[in-house]
Amino acid sequence: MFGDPDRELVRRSKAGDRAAFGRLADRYYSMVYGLAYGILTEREAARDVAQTVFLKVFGDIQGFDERAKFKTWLYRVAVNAAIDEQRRQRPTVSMDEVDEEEGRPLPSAVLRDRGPSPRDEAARAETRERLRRAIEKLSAEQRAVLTLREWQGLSYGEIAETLGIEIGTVMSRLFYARRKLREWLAEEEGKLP
Amino acid sequence: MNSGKQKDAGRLYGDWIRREVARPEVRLEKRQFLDAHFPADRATVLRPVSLIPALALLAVVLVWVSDGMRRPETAAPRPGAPVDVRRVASQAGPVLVYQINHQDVPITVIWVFAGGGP
Repeated sequence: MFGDPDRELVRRSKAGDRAAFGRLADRYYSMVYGLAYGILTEREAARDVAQTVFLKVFGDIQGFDERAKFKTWLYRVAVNAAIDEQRRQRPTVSMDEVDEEEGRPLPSAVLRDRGPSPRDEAARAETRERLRRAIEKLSAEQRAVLTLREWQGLSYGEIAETLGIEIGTVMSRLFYARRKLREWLAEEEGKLP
Repeated sequence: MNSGKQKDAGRLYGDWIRREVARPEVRLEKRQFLDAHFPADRATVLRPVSLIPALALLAVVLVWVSDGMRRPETAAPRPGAPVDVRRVASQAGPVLVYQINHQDVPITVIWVFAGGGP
């Protein structure tokens, strides 16, 4: 009764039912897109990664063990795909040592989402832009942990299981990610006239 | 470093993603992607055999409505037609009740003469 709510659709997807998988994809598209966007901070890249993830998952679903939760598996595939894309675009040093300087400052040209801001949202748009610059200071792994925690509301244990890391590592990355974010935002706020 | 402010920074991050995901463009992209790669199975809904029960129900409804819309040409009894007449009294005045058969449909006609009867 309280098993995986996706079990039936997964079973039908494994039998080749594309419409059934479409319902799964419909259910989780926003989640996967949000994960990708949280890590990549670029809409086009996030969209491409999200859609690639679903195509890959459908292709690999024969090997999915139905005793596991489909959503957890999807989280893992999505996060790994986004991190891989992030590294492909912007190779950085190893992220295992959380007290090292992670990532490098990125040129402003990296910001590709230049959609127009409504005039009456200028202040909020400025805040979002400062936040984006702050986020880009974080490593892909830090963004992944932050996204799973702050957007999806996963527990430390769930994040650890999803990413295949220790809970202590989750907590460390979260701590340093939040601290860096806060420091950078404070620095940005200090630059305002 | 104030841990409360650090958590606020984290919440800002979550809100930032929520706002992005809520954009109508994301929903549109999802729809386009699903329609292209994993379209819903509409065949069973639109196959003719699936429509038979619905069509049958529609036919019954149409017959019922058209039958109900038929009205007797007149409530008055035709000369020579079998009529069952009963005269009763009421507080409203004399009442004439009779039944006629119109196209095999029994119709009860009730006349109330408020100011005096036949």
